[in-house]
Amino acid sequence: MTLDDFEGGLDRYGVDLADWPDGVAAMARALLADSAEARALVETRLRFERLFAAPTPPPAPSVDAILRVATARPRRRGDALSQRWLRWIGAEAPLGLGWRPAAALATYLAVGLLTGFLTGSLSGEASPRLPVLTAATLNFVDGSALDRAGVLDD
Amino acid sequence: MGEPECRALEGEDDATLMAGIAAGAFRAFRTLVERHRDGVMGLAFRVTRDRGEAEDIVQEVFERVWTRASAWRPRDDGRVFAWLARIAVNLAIDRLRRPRPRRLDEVPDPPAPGFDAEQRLHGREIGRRITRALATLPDRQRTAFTLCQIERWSNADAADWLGVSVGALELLLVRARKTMRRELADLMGDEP
Repeated sequence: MTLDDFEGGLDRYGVDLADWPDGVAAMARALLADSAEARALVETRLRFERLFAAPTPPPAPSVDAILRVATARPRRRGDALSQRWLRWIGAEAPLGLGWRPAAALATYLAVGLLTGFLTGSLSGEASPRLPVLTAATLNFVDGSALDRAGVLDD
Repeated sequence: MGEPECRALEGEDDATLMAGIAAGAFRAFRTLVERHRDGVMGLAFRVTRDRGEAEDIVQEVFERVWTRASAWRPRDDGRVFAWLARIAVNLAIDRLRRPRPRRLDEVPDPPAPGFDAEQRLHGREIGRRITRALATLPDRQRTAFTLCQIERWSNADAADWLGVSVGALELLLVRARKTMRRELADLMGDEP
């Protein structure tokens, strides 16, 4: 094991060789026995470790005090609207399959078709060459009909 | 979920308690607070080195648990402490960025007789430096560092909680430790 390997191990596993994988720890011990640089590296890392080993912490606030303050504020009712909506769509549907996902997909498709239809009808360029249904489908898939009609230019 | 007796709740795992809290079970909340308040206090104090700050953080952590329990989703075997630790460290960082004047009744008790005030001030400064250094880490590195370096979790446990491989966790730790050493080099009498 090189000194660089050893330093990498300190970053990866920490300064306590007991936390190192057995084989690597054995090589690290051998290096430590031979190398003053390796031992100096460990000393530096121990100083780093000690920064996070603060003196014994004072006692926490009492349970009653924590409860009193924490429960004084109103609880959040449910989750964000979007999460509730997503949950509603997927709820009560075994394996996520049910009428709600199907209805959501159908609605999305209908909106896409309608947008495509209206765009196709209003567009002087796209309509003659592109059947309305095709335009609607393309629009649904990637918005390309809108692009052809120049709607997306802005 | 109803409210079984506290005694019965003591044996419940954290995930069950969180489900109870989400349903408004006060006794489940009490049991969770009893179980984790010392751990959260220890972490908050090790990061901030300030008793008043640490107490405020403990209070705020559990306030969030109570008001936002429904947002908690079990990601593992119900180790809620890692979630609390993450909240605590983020709160410490937020408080450092947005210091607020403290009310008189929030001022902590004077130090115990014999306590070295200079040492205490020095401790607070170290705490501010540690918190500032933690703030420079990306979220996952910070969580990995908090769990493994400060809370002494094993790499395998932290990887499990974070939902990454042990190898990926170790990479997060390598980067986090390098950054923290660089940021705190002068406190160690060490050059980056």
